[in-house]
Amino acid sequence: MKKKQLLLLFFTLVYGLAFSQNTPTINATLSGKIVDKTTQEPLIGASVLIKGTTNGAITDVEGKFYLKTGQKLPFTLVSSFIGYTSQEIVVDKNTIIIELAPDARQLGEIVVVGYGTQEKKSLISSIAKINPKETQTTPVASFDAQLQGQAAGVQVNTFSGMPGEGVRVQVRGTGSINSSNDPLYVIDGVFANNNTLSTINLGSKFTSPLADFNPADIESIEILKDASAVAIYGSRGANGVVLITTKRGNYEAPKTKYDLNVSQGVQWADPTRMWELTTGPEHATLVNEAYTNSGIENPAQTRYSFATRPFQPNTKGIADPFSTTLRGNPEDQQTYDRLSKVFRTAQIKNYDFSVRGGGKSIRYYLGAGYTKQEAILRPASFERASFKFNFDTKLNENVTFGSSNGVYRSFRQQVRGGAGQEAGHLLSALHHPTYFPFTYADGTFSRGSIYESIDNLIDINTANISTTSLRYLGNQFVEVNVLPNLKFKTSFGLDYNIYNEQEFFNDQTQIGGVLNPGGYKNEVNTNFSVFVNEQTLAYKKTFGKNHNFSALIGNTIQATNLKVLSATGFGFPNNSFQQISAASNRTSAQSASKSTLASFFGRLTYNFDNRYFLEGTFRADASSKFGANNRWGYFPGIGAAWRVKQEAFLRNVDVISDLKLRVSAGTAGNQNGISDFAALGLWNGTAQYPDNLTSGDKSGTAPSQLANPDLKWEKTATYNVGVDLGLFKDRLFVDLNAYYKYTTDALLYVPIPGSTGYASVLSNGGEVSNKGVELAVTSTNIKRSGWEWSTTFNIARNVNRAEKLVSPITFEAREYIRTQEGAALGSYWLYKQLYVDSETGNAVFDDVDKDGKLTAADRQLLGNLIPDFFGGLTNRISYKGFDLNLLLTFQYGNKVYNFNRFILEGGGTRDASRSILKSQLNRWQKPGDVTDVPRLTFFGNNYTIEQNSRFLEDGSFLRVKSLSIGYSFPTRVARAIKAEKVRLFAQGTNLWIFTKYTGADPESSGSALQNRQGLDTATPPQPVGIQVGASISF
Amino acid sequence: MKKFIVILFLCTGVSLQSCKNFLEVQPLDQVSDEQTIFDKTSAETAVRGAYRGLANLNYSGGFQNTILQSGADIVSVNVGLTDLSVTNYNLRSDIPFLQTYWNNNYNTINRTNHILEKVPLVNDVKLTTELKNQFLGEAYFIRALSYFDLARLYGGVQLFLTPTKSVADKLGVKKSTQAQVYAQVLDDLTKAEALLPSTIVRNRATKFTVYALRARLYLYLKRYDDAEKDLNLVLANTNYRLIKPFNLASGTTESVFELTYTINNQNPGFTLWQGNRQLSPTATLHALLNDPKVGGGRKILSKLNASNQFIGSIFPTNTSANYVIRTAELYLNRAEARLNKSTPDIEGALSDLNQVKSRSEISNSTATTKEAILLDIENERRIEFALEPHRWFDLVRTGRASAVLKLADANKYIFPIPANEISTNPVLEQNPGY
Repeated sequence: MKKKQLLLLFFTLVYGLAFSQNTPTINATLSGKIVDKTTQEPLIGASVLIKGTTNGAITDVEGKFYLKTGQKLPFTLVSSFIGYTSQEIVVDKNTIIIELAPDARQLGEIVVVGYGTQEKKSLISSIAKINPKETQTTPVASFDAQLQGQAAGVQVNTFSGMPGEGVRVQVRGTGSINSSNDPLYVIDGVFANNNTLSTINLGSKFTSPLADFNPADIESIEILKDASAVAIYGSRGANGVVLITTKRGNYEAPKTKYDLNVSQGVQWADPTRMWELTTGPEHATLVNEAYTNSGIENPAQTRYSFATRPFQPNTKGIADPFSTTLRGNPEDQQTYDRLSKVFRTAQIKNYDFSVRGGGKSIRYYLGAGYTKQEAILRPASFERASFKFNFDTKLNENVTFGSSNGVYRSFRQQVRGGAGQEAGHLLSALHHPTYFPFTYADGTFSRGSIYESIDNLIDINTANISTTSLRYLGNQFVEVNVLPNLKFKTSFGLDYNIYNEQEFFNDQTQIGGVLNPGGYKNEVNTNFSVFVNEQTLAYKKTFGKNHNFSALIGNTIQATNLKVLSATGFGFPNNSFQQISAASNRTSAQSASKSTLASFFGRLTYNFDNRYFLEGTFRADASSKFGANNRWGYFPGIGAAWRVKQEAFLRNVDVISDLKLRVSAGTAGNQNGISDFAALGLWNGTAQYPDNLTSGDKSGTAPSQLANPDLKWEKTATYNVGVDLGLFKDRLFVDLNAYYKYTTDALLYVPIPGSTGYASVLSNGGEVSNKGVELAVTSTNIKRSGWEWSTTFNIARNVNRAEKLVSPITFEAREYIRTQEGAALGSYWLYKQLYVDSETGNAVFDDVDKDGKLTAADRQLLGNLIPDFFGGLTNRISYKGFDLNLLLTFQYGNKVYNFNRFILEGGGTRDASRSILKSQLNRWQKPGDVTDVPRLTFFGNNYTIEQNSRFLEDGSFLRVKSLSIGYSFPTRVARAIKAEKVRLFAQGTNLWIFTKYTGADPESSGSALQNRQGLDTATPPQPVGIQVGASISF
Repeated sequence: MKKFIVILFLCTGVSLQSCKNFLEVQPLDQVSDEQTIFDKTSAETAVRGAYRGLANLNYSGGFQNTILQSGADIVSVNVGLTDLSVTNYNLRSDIPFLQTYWNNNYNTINRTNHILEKVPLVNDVKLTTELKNQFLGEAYFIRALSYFDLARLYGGVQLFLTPTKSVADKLGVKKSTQAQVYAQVLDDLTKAEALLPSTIVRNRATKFTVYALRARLYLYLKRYDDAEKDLNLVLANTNYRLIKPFNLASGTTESVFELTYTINNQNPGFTLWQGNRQLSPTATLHALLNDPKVGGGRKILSKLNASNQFIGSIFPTNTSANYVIRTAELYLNRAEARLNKSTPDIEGALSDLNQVKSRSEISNSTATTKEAILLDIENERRIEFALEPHRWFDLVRTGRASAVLKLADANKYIFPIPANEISTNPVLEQNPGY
């Protein structure tokens, strides 16, 4: 009651004052200028609005505005501009200069942290904030791929040039071996699934669920890196946390804002980096040479000799390129180029439209987007339609309801990536021998011994693989100010994904013609959901003058459900029938999985005088994935900071505008990427067998997993020290961090003796350390009227080491990769080719144990794909209406195994089954030849050692990731078409790369599977692209 | 405002209460260990699971591929490096397929060990003693076959006769000698013989299947009299007869023990020969099969396609049966046993050999001496089992690998123990020469 009376009194006074100033001048116009209070620079695009009306205007390039008012003076004018404090002034004349002061809050930037926000200046943790406007110059479908080079210590690698495919994001190295190394993605408070739902055979390629989201809807991206920041995410924070905040409206927005962004472009594979294959005659010569050499080397055998060389005239006089022998002389061979059949100049287009605004008690953001990207590899494409609706309502001054909703549909025309019998669009084009004609004599498309014919694969009427993801991600919340300083929030979040996959191979193909006669169709429906319910209670109060406290407690429960239903059929009446009901042979399968997580968490912060900061966080998590004894995990984090600048001795040192020292320590966990029932001993029910010849299959069971009741969290302790240094009024800002991460109880599939009946058991069998330094520098080089140049640079180094392992673990079918105590995770495990003996032409390998034989004991770890350092450099220049943004990314010291070269430099021993690279022509031919390509032969070690170090290459690179140039029309021109801002732009992507790597792209990896990365095969390079577009704001 | 706090605490209270249930999630498509073998049905399904292990693990496509290529009459179409290691007899212990075959056999062995330990404890009226015995006998048979193959492939291996409950069970155990493993196989087969019925079921183990396998084992042990005895027991039964013309279809009297495949569990050997086939008969083998005097009816095993390629035709579809033991082998085994036994029976041997020859419409053997007949048997087996993984084992068993394959280094007659197996259990010793 008391409050209301006071309010009434207040309003009476205000009104009284207003009426008493009786100046009844009537003015028809008002003109003015808005400038920055400190620099006196004009502010372009600032808005003015007569309070209580809809009458307003926007300033032009000179900061000027002009209003027809028809209003009595004086009236109140509200002027506002992003980054500045809004101002209300009473106008009593018809020309005016308004000085807007930069928003203090903006200066001390707001950073989103777990379950809240903090001011950057009071931040203790190491958090990288990324402005999506800067990253969207790279036209890739998925926001995670746009993060390369943007934040120190965040290594992002795009494994392939296919839109919407998996991207590797690593925050401060890798701590896990079999548990996931991906950071946790939280979008508007919902734990977003980033594990692929892909089940069909794409040859170890995976679609990225993060590509479902439209980057245009993102307001900010924060990457939490150190323990005090991630501990509040407890059992899932160990690999860092990526917080995505989407755009919302503004209460009392002066005007509804419409944004339209249209762009279109083309992409292609850099021709200078494409694989160079031998011609038909060259191929034939090499194969014949291998046969001839083998005959001389080992005359006892009869299989390989000059007499049996495959390329020689047929006795019947007709050369048959498809026969295993007698295909005509080398010089008679033709050359067939399949690469140009599969690669194309791809079209990409993107349309985004958004409406943003609000009223007194509501605010809203509505975004619609459509993207279509053809891949440079035929016939793949990615298409996404998205709709985002964020809405908040203030029910009264204490209660707010809010809702964030995104509906997404992603359609992908897929290609198979991998090797093997049934696969490979790129491999079919690249690995088919070049002398091999496109068609058989009867006109049907020819295929080699391994791959499907490329002509069949690129025709979607023949081979059609597609996936459709339908996804909802949203969050509904209620926020209540329980007491003036106490805020309660409850929210319900849902990530629901219906993922449909279809593949059809008609009867012309290998899969649908021979392996599954009569056409083959497979369809998989996956339903995936994450449900999160969360309550938080936040308290904030200042005691006395300088004691600032805040506290947060909360709980969350989460349930994750996965259901997969698939049906397969073959034997269709004809190729027009593609529904499984029409198939004469039908099978189906079903599987399901579920996991739950319950958690409690809290955070306490205190600072004295914004000078000394303390923070403590805690989380307790219980997961259904672990045995009852180890269900709960506890994750504490603490941090402290000293803002030295606030001390008396620095306050007057003008050069140093900010200086803060930070230190933090804490523990976070990891349980991602392991099976929902990893702790249990399991039997599966898929081992059917008949009881007799006529019974048909009857149900059968078999042990499938060895129990490990002691299974528990993987824990990572992180220690971080950091310095924030601002110089020259923060025009140069340096953020330097050093960290040490130590993972214990690392979840890994410990290889166990196969004699147990199992290959491995998931256990907490390892310890891994990561240590590193990160440096981020932001510099405003020039800031003058209409002329601005700023540079940001980041660089990071991470040293990774497996500290403790029960036994070494090898990965990949050919065990190229090994994780072993004392070395970095995922090192290449190879036989080291020292040189090629110039007298004999034989490859000489390092005989480590000096026993005169080449055995597994001679294999050694020869580097890995972890770079010595990596980072990015961005330059932004704007001059008048022009703007330019140039992003360079780099990585140094990482190794790539050029698997394509390994396969295609096989010394002619692979004969008709694979093509041969031009580099094979450098083989040793006669005594005295100095080369590292050994003599061609089927015998000895020259071409039979699979894990040959010769194909391990330096993967360092410097890439011109993106360059964009834009021009914004002056406001008066824009206004002519009733727009506020019109910007035209052109941007180029992957324009240039400097690398010694001989493959197409040093970032390529045949597999996105963890621990299997770094083998370059079956992967198209990232495309070079050019795009033009326009963005218009109304 | 206090209401909100009350509600909050209520919420928290409720979530704590239900927390325990909320966190108990049971798998839906698999069952945990305790509920595996406890009644008749679960015993039955576990036995079927062991057969599926034989069919899809032990006799995987890879296994057939390696053994066929080692026998030198079959070559890889897609010459990979591993293939060169096989055909050059230059295997290294880190070649992954060595681990695969090892794991597959032990996986099946673990399945049988579960059955052998748990089935005797089952208390279910529906599980009669007869049925119990049958299941146990089948498990003994499958375990015997798996150890037999392990011993043929790797020589001496570790013997495990109980199911794995934790990794520690199996650590620190040294390998037994090859002779000890064969002795275990013999012991298992003898137990199986006592337990199994004398019915005729061609895709499950019966007494006859046990005799047939035990006879094969006796040849390896050079106990020829015992081998003949066992073979007589099977061949006396009219349900095991050669069929004419030569044909490897399922369910005929040719079939002694075959593995069954369905759309859900496809024959892993199918893709070796069909589609983007991995294997091809050599020109020599193709010529022999298509020579009416040598191959006769068996010419159907290697056909010439439109592109003049040799297509091995053993599995017409992806659900074709795979023979483990067939009647022709029994005759050829008996011929060998009769020649080598304490009092050689030349006539009996020739009669057995000629049965197989005449079935394929080729003329009788003209050999007269023991050595000549043995050579004839060897050549007959080469043709008869052209696409089945026998020749490599046969040549090693009879000591002919050196002469035929020009492989003098006897260390190469057994494969190396997989490298990872030694690194995870260092008491295991590598085979000599690797």
